[in-house]
Formats: sequence, structure tokens, C-alpha cells
Amino acid sequence: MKHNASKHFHLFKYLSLSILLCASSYSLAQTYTEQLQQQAEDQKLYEKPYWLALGHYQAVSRSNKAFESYSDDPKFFLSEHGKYSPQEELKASISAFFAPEKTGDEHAQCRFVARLNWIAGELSLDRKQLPQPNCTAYQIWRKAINAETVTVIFASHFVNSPSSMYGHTLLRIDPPKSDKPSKWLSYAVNFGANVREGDNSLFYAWRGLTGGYPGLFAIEPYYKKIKQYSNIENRGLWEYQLDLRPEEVNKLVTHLWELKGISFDYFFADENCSFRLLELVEIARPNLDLLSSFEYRAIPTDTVRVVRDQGMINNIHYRASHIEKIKYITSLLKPKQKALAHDLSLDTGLAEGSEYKSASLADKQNILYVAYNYLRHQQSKTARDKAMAKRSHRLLVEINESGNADLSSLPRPYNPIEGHETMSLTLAAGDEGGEEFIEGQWRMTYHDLLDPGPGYPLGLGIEMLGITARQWQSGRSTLERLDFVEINSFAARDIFFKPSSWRVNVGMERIYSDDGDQLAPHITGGRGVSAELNDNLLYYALITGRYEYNEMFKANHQFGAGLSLGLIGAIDNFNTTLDLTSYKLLNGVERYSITFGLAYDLAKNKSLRLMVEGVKEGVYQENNMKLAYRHYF
Amino acid sequence: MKKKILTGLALVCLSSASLADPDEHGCGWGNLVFEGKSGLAPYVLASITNGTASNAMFGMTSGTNGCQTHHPLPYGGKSWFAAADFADSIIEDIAKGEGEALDALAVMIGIADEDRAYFNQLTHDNFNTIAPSSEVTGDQVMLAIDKLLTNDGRLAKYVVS
Repeated sequence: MKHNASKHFHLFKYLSLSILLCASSYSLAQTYTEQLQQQAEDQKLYEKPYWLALGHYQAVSRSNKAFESYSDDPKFFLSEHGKYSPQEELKASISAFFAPEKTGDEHAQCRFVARLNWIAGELSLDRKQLPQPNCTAYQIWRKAINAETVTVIFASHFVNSPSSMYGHTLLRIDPPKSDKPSKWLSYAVNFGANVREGDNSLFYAWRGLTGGYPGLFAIEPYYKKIKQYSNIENRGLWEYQLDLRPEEVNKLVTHLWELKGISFDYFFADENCSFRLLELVEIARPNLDLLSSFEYRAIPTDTVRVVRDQGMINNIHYRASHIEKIKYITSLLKPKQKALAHDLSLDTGLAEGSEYKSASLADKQNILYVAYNYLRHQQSKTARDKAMAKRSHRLLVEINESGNADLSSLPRPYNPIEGHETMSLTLAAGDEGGEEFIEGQWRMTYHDLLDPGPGYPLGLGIEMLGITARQWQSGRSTLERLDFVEINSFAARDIFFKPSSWRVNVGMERIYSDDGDQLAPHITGGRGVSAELNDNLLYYALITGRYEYNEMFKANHQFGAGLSLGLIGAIDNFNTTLDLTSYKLLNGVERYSITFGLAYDLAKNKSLRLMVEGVKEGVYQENNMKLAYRHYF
Repeated sequence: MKKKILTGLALVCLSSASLADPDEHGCGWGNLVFEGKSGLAPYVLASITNGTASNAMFGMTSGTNGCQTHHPLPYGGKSWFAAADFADSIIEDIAKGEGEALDALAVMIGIADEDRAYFNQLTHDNFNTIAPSSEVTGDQVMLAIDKLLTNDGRLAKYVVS
């Protein structure tokens, strides 16, 4: 009995002691928290660029130090005023790091690792005084990421898909070289709008413009990106390895974890994938200023250029798309063999035929390569077909026996960031209908069919927002054109691939006629086909439609239809276009035009062009000509 | 300064995330190796919007991805059976005798440098066992490779724990 009582007494002593200990350590921690918060206030830590970067704050007004975070996700903030107050957020973060550890993975120390690391460094925080939560999820994640280097990936333009014509950028995080890693298994970091399956693309475009979509970071194995871009969308992937050191990469990855499931404003024009990825690079190397040049627009190639201008690109690798490889091997085949490759993809029995059997081994390999890959390309666009699958398998068995085509001499295209810059200013002098004029044009972006070709695909022109004004000899000034968007997408058809070609132009243009001239808003589009005469020359035929609002007409709103034929050529430093267009509006007005353009690239960012045009509307007829100098910046 | 200018630069790098159906990831679902458009559905959908075709998001942490686990797990604690996800590329590489998909599989299995050429040759020589028909699934490809390695004197060490 006595023994028992003493045991109870000991237990009581132990309990009270531990309660006492707990209480004192709690109050001690609280004071330490307050002390750190005071220290942070005194040092104005919340004004430091790195803290603002970690919270993705932008200055709303520099003078009164007002800020707003690009993130509008409550999960991203520990203070309820966090979105607008870096100061409150910093204070709340310090408190949260000292919260009891029982929450584990949900603890602020586990969720905001980069914040903790930075604050701890700035305040010389004694980590022994922190609660020690188990950040299991974070630890597993870090182990899986195993990062040492970072590569910026540029998925090049995708002809025929307007939603991707500027290309797309993502980051890839690679393990140490010593691990002999596979790039296929590296992780790709992508920032994009969180689109749900039911959303249609028009709705998507609208909401993207107006900010209706939340943007999120996603991480997935790089092979999925290769599958999507190289094999399905047929876009080449440029891989620019950055010179970030392991400790810098560590900062980036640590912060990336904080962005898990966090939504951001998403705007196509500026706060897009490219912008967000540059923010991550700034997190890695705090003294960089990559973002200030992107006030209104962040075009993927421009964002890669900014990184290049900082001297951060160590090494460049290009991953050709599926179609590029097929086209390259096809170019090695004689015309009869091309036809055989095509037929073989439809009838694998031809592998037993004499034409195939008599070919050399290298030719057999090339024919099989084209047949197999063309078949897979076809199958990727249609519902699974058992017969197609059977032919695919059969051809693969043949490849297994004959060996693979030699792709070692596959040419690498011109590095897109070495192409001309994307904004342009043009000065021209010319003559229209006997009167001389000088003309100025500003274009926000990006490339037209006469601009210097290197780095841009032949037959693709995308322009957004262009203004053209004239000063006439007579003293009159006119606005000639206001172009919101003009896209020309000419993709050549051949025996294997049958893409369609199209053009669209939305804007205002000055129409000259017998009754005078008038600035007319219009929407003009066309769709048709184009083919290659050789590597340097495309020709096209389009059926066109037009809507025009013209106050010179009795009925202002007019619709019409017509035809366009033309040529697009590029040889060395010369680019040329020839276009014949005619259309008829419902009110009977018929217009004809023939336009010839010849441009010469003086340097990467300087070109000269000559435009000659003849137009006819009813009895009205005139010719105009101009010589222009264009500068890209 | 808030910089929301609707410049008409509407179509810069549209991108999307979380499009895939939840079964798209990994093994145990018998994805056909010679697939058509439907097997690529998430990718095709993403290609309309220039985005991400995966619900993986940050979800690469899930250990074995529900795949078979009687193997050693050298690559980030994941079963190499997860490579069933890109079995289509693997069998193409096996037919060719080399390639990045086959390299990725070798890394996942943990095959050492000195055994890589042998691994490539062994799989190449056994193409017809690994991909016996056009109806083969990703999991069947993985099982066939597993069996091949298990029965091989030099490579068995990588799959038998």
C-alpha cells in the first residue's frame, strides 16, 4: 500500500513537472516568436525583394508601398490580409512556424519551406527553438525530385493551331549527372490555366483574356511532355540548360513546393506560363531582374531571350518532332520509294514484294521508318483500329529485323531565340495613284511572311496589333490600317500529310475608290491548301470570305466571298510573296488586287522591303509602290 | 501598377492542367500498346489548349503508383512497372535496339552502365516474346520483360530481391 502511494506521488511529481516544463517552454517560445517578429519589423524584412518574390507580390503603387500578390488563393497566405500585406504575412508566417507541431504535413514549416529558410537566414533564427513537425510528404517529394540543374524548355510553334502559335515554355528539373539520369524521367514544371474537360476552346480563350481562369503549377515526368509535343502536336522542343548552381536550384525547388495547388491569376498576354517561370528563376538567383521588361506582354521566345541576355544558358539541345523526322527520312527516299513507304503503311504485305526486297538495307530501313511512323501518326488522329494496330505491329517486327533508319544527320533548325526580335517599327516612302507619301508603322508582335526567316517557320505569319499611318504630299495625314490580328498559316501538303492552310485578318483598312476613301472595319478569312515547289517555295489557293463595314456604301454592312492565290519564297537573305486576290460583295462591288513583296534582310534586326500593288474596283484602278525600312526590337 | 492590358495578344502559350482521367496514370489498367486517338485522349484534348495532359500535378510522390512491388525499388522508390505508361515507346526502342524510352526503363530498373548494352541486346533479341501481337498491353510488356530478366543469369540480380 505504502509502496503504491509513493508510486502515485512520483507519478504526480512527474506530471506536474512536465506540465510546468511544457508551460514554460511554451511561454519561452512565445517570447522568442515576438522577439523575431520585432526584429523583422525593425529590419523591414517585409520590404525586401526576396520576401516580395516569395509571396509573388507586385507593387500596385510604388509611392505608398501598396502591394498585391498575383496569387488569389487563400491557401497561399497565413494572414487573412496576406494578399495585400507583405508585412502582415511575414508576421503571421513567423507565428505559424512556432505553432504546435501536431499538424505534421499541414504545419507552416512543412508547407512554406522556402519562407522558413529565408526568414531563418535573415533573422539568424535558432532552429532548435522551433517545433519539429514531421514533414513526411515534403521529404518524399524532395527525394523524388532529386534536382541539380534546371532547363528551360521551349515548345516551338505549332502550325495550324492558333492557340499555340507563339510557342510555350516550361521548366525541366534534372537530377545530378553522376546519377546517370534519364531525361525522360526528369520532372517538367508547367504553369497553365486549369481547364476542365468540358470547357470549349472559345470559352477558354475568352476567360483567359479576362482573367476568369485560375492558373496552377503542374509537375509531371518529361516523357509525358515529349509524347504530347513531339509525337502528337509535332512541335520541336528546344532545351536550354541554365547555369544555376545546385544551391540555387534548391531554392527554386523548395519554393515550388510552396506553390503546390496554389492558384494564380492567369492572363494570356502577360501573366502567363513564361512570366511565372521567370519568377521561379528569380527565386533561384535573387539578384536577377528578369521581369521588368515584361510590362504588357510575355512572349515565350522573349522570355528565353531575357535569360540568354543574362548569360545563363549553358547548353542547348533540340528534340525534333515526329513529323520532322518523318520528313527528313522521306527526303532521303526516291519518289518511287516514297510511294512504296506510303503503300506499305496501308498494306504490309508489300514487304514480301520484289520492289521492297530488292532495295538496299539502308533504303529498307528508311522505307520502314516512314511507313511505320506515318501509320502511327495516322492512328493518333483516329479511333483505334484493329487492322491499323496489326499493321503497326507487323512493321515493327520488320524494323526489329532490319534495324532502324539513321537519324544522326537530322538537321537542327535555326535556334528560335536567335531569330529577329518581336516588335517592329517601319518607315516607308512611296507613291499611290500618283501622289507621294511617307508612312510609319508600329507592330507590337510578331512575324510576317516577309520578315527575316531564321528562327521562324516558312509560311507562318502572326501579327497582333499594328498601326499604319501616312503623311501625304498634299499635307493630308491618314490612318491607313489598324490591324488587331493577322495570321497566315500555310502548311504544305504532300503524299503523307494533308494540313489545310488559312489566313485571317481583323482590323480596319483604308479603301480607295472612285467616290473617295474610307477607313473600313473588316473581318477577312480564307481557307485552302498549299504545297511546296521546293524547300524554298510554297504556293497556295484559298477560298475567302469577308465582312466589311463601309460608310460609302448605301448598305453599310456587307458580306462577300472570293479567291486568293499566291506564292511564298525564301532564299538566303531574300523573302518574297506574290498574292492575287479577288472578291465580290453582296452589293455587287468587286475588287481585284495583285500584290508583290520583296524583302532583304540587312541584319538580324533590320530589313528592307519593296511592295508593289495594283488594285481595281469597278472603273477605279490604281497602282502603288513603296520602299520600306523595318527595324525589330 | 496593374497591367491587365487586353492587348489582343490573346493566344500566348495557352496551357492547361488537370485534364486527364484518373486511370490514365500507370499500371494495372492494361493500356493497349498500339493505341489510337482514344488512348491519347488527354493529350489530344491538351493539344487543343496547348497544355498539360495529366492529373499528376504534384502527385509523383505516391510510392509505387499501385504497381507490382515484388521488385527492388531503386528509382525514387517507384516500381519500374510504372513504365507501362510509355510501353509504346519502349517496344519501338526494343525493335530499334536502343532509344531514350529503353534508357528510361533501364534507369528505372536500376541497370548498371556495364549491363546496358547487354540489356538492349537481350530485349531486342526477344522482341517477339515481349510484343507478341498487336493487342499487347503495357502491363503484358512489363511482365514479359520481368520474366526475361528473372530468367537471365546476368540480369536476374536487378529484379529478384
